[in-house]
Amino acid sequence: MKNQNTNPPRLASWLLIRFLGETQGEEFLGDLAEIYQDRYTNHGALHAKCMYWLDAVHLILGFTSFRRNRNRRPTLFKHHLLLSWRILQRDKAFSFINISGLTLGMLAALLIVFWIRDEWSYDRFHEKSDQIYSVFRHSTFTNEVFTGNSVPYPLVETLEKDYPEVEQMALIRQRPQAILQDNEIMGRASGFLANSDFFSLFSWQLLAGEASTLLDDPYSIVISASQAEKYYGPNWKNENAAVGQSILVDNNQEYLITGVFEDVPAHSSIQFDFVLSIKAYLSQAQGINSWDNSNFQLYVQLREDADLSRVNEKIKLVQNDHIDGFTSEVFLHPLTDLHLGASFEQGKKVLSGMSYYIRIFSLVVFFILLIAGINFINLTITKALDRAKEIGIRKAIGAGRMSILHQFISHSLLLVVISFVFAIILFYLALPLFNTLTGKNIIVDSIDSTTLLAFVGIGGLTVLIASLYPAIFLSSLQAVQVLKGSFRLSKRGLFARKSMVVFQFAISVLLIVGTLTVYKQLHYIQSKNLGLDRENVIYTFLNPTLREKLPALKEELLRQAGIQSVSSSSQSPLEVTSGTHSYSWPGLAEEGRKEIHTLSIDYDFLEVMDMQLQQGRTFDTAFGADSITYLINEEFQQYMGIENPIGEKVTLYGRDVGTIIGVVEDFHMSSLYNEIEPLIMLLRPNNTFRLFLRTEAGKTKEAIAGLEAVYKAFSPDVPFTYLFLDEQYQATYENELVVGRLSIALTALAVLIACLGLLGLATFAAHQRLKEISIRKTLGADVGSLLFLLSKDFMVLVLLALIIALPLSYLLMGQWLNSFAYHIAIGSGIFLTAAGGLIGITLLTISWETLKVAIVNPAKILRSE
Amino acid sequence: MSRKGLGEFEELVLLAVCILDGNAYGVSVKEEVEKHSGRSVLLGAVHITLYRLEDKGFLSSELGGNSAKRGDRRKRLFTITTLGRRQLESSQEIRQSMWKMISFLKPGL
Repeated sequence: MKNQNTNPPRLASWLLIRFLGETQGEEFLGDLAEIYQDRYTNHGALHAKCMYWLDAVHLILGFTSFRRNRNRRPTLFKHHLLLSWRILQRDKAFSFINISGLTLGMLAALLIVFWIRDEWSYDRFHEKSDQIYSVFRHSTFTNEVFTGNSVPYPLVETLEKDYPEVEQMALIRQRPQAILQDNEIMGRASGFLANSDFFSLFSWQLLAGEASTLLDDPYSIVISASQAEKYYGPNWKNENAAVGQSILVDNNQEYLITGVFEDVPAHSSIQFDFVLSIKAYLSQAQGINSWDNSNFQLYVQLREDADLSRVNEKIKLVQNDHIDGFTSEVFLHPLTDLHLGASFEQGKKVLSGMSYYIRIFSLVVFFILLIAGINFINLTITKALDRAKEIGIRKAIGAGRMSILHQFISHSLLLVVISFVFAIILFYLALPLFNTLTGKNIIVDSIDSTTLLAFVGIGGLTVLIASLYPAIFLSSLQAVQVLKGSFRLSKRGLFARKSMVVFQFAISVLLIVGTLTVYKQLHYIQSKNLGLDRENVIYTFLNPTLREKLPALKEELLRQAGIQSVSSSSQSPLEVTSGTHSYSWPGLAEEGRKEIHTLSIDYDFLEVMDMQLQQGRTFDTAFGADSITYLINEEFQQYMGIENPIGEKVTLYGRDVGTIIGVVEDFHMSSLYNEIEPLIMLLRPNNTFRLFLRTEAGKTKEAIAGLEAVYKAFSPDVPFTYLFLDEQYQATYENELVVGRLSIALTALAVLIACLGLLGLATFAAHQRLKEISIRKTLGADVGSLLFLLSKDFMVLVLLALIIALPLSYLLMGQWLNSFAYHIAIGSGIFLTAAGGLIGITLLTISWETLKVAIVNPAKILRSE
Repeated sequence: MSRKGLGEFEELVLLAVCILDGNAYGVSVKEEVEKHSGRSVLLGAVHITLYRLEDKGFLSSELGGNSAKRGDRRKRLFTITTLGRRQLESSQEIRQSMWKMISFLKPGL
C-alpha cells in the first residue's frame, strides 16, 4: 500500500512516453521522478501526484506544439476543431440539446459508477483481504437449510491441528452492547471478544499500544479512537493517558486498556467500538468444547498457495462427523464477498438484494447513456441535410472517406469532451445531495486509477454510442448525388431513426412504471396493517437491575404523564428471530415439521402493541402464573390444524408442558419479504430484554421525560437510551427507500433527456414544414388542427413505445414484487398514470415548438416566394 | 546569419546553464532559476526553453548522468556554445551602453 503511493502516477508517465517518444520521455521522466521525490517528502502524496500530472501534461502540450512548428502536421486537426466550434455556434439550440443530454446522461453514469464502486469496496482495505475467509455453515434440519457464520469452538483446534493451509485465525464471540465506565464518564458501546490474532489477521490501524501483545492478558481491552477521546480527552495519545488505564465493563469487571485503534471504516462488514480478550471467556464458559454449540465466528487466513476448493472439500463434514440431530456442511466464504455476496436460500447462494439492485441500476444507466446517444445520433442525422452540401464539396475536391469520418468523429469527440467537463462539474456539485439520497458517504478526493478508468470508460462508451453511426452514415454520402440536389434521407434511415425514438420512449415507460411500482410497494409497506400498531411505541433496554424490579418499575412508569401501558419482551415483535425445533403436542406429525418462533413477554404485551385477540384470553394477573400457559398466533393454529386450540397442551424444550389460552391475530414478525410463521408466546418476564411503552398520542415528550426519570431512579449506573418502534421498522427497509429515491432521480433524468431529443426533432420537423404550414394557414387552417398535424407523427411513436413497454414492464416488475411475500398487485392505475404522464409530457414538449410555428404570420414566410 | 534576440526568460535559463557549468539539466536549471529569480517555474517551461535555445544554436547537449533517484534514467546535459556566449555578451553590452546613457543613474551623482 505504502509502496504503491510513493510511485508517481503510471498513466501520466505512459502518456508522456506515448506522445514524446522514448528518448525525450526518458530525460523528462527522470526529471519528473526527481522532483516527485522531493515534493512527496515535503508536501505529501496528493500534492506530488497532482503536480506530476500538471507537469506531464504541460510537457506534452508544450512539446507537441513545439514540434508542430517543425512539421505542420496537426493543421487539419485544428481545422476540424475550428469547424466543429462554428457548427456548435451556428445552431445554439441543437448544441444545447446535444450537450445537455450527454451531460445529464454522463452525470447519471458517474453517480452510479461511484455508488457501485462504494458498494464493491467493502472489506477491501485489509492488506490480506483476498486471503481471508469467513467460516460459514449450511445446517440442515429436516427440510430447512440455514446458512450462517456461527461455528463451534472445537473447529478451531481441528483447523490448528489438521489444516496446514490455514496461516492464522481470528476467533470472535459476540456479546451484547456493553456499558463502559471510567469514573464519571459512562456510555454504551458495541464490541465483542476476540483472540490475539484478530489484530494481525485484519488490518485495523493501531494508534497506540503494542501490536504483538494486545489481547494477551485475559482482562485486556482495545478501544477505538473515538472511545478513547470520549473517556480520556483529546490528549489520549499521551503516554498512560488511555493505554494502561483500566475501564469498568458492564459494572462488574475491570479491563486493562492495551491499545487504541483507529475507528473502524464504514466500509467494513465487521463493526465494533472495542474488543475484549476472549481468554477469560474461554477458560470459564461451559460446554464450549461441544461440537453442538455453534457460538463463535471464525475468520481464517489461508496461505497464498492454498487451494480454496481443496480446503473446502476437506472441511465440508468437519462438524457433521461429531453431531446428530442435524447435518452440517462447513465452507469458507471470501471476506471481500461478505457485503454483497453472503446471501443464501435453502443452502444455495442467491443474488443478494444489493447486488440485484446494482445490476439493475448499471443497466438503467447504460440505457440512459443510450438515450442520450440516440438524441445525438438523431439530431446529427436530421441536420445532415444542412451539412450534406459541405460533405459533397469536400468529396468533390478530393477528401477521402476516412478524412470525413475523422472530421465527424472529432466533432462528436469535442461535444463529448465538453459535456464530460460539465458532467464532472455537476457530479462534484451533486455528490452531497446524492450522498444524502443514498445514505452513503462517497468522497472522491484523489484521482486514483479506478476513478480514472471510470471516467475514461464512461466517456469512451458515450463517444462510441454517439459518434460512430452518424460518422459512418454521413461519410458514405455520394458527392454527385448530394451536389445535384437529389439527396434525400432514405426510407430505411427514417425507419431506423423512428425506431430509435420508440426505443427511447419504451425505456422511459419502463422506468416510469418501475418507479411507480417501487413507490407503491414502499407506500404499501409503510401503511400496511402489521397486526400491531407501531406508532406511539417507544422502547428501551432492560438490564438485570431493572428486570429484578420489573413490577415496581411498571407501576411507577404508569404513574407518569403520557404513558398508557407498559410491558416487556425478549425481542422486538417486528423482528422475532428466536425459534426452536424442540416442541411437540399430542398428534403432531413428524412429516413437514418446521421451526417455530418463540417470544417471551410480560403481562399487558398485547395492550401495548395493540394486538388483537382472536380466541381465548391473554395473560392476566387475575389468573395467576402458577401453571404454564401459552399464546399462539393464527399461523400456529393452522400449523396445528385444530379448529379450537384453546386448552390444548404443547410441550416446549422437552420439559415445559403448557396450555394454550389464546390465539392472537397474525402480525408481521419479520420484514414483508418473509411469510408470517408459527409463533408461540410465553409468559416469562424474567427472560425479557426490551421494555415497551405505549404513549398517549401527542404526549411523546412527556412520556420520554417520565421514562428517563424513572429509569434513572431505578438504575442510576446505566446510561439511558430510548428508541421508537416505527423508526426501527423503517430502518428494515432502508435499502428499498434508497432504491426508491435513486429510481425517481434516474427516471426523471431519462425522461428529461428523451424529451430533450424529442424537442430537437420536433423543432426540426416544424421548421422543415414552415412553408407547408404557412400555406395551410392562408387557406384557413386553425392553430388546433395545425398542432394536431405536427404532433400526430410523434404521438404515433409514443403510442408504439407504450404498446411495447407496458407488457414488458408488467413482467419485470411482477418479478421484483414476487421477492416480497406480501406485495401490491400492479393495477391498471400504474399503467394509466405512466401512459398518461408520458403522453402529457410529450405533447407539452412538442407543442412548445410547434405552437411557435403554428402562430407565425404566414406572410412573413411566404413573401420571399 | 540574422541576429537572434533573447527573451527575458531565455536569458535567465542561459545564465543558469553557465552557472551550473556542465551540470545543467531540466531540474537543476529550474532550481537555479527559481533560486535567483525568486519565482516558481514550471518544469515544462524550462525544458521547452532549453530546447528552443538549442534550436537557435546557443546550447548544445548530450545524454548522460543517470542516477538512482531518477529511476536510472539518463538526463540531457546542456552546455553553452560559443554562439551562446557571444549572444549573452552582446546583450549584456547593449544593456550596459543603454544604462550609461541614463543621466540620473550615472554613478557619483
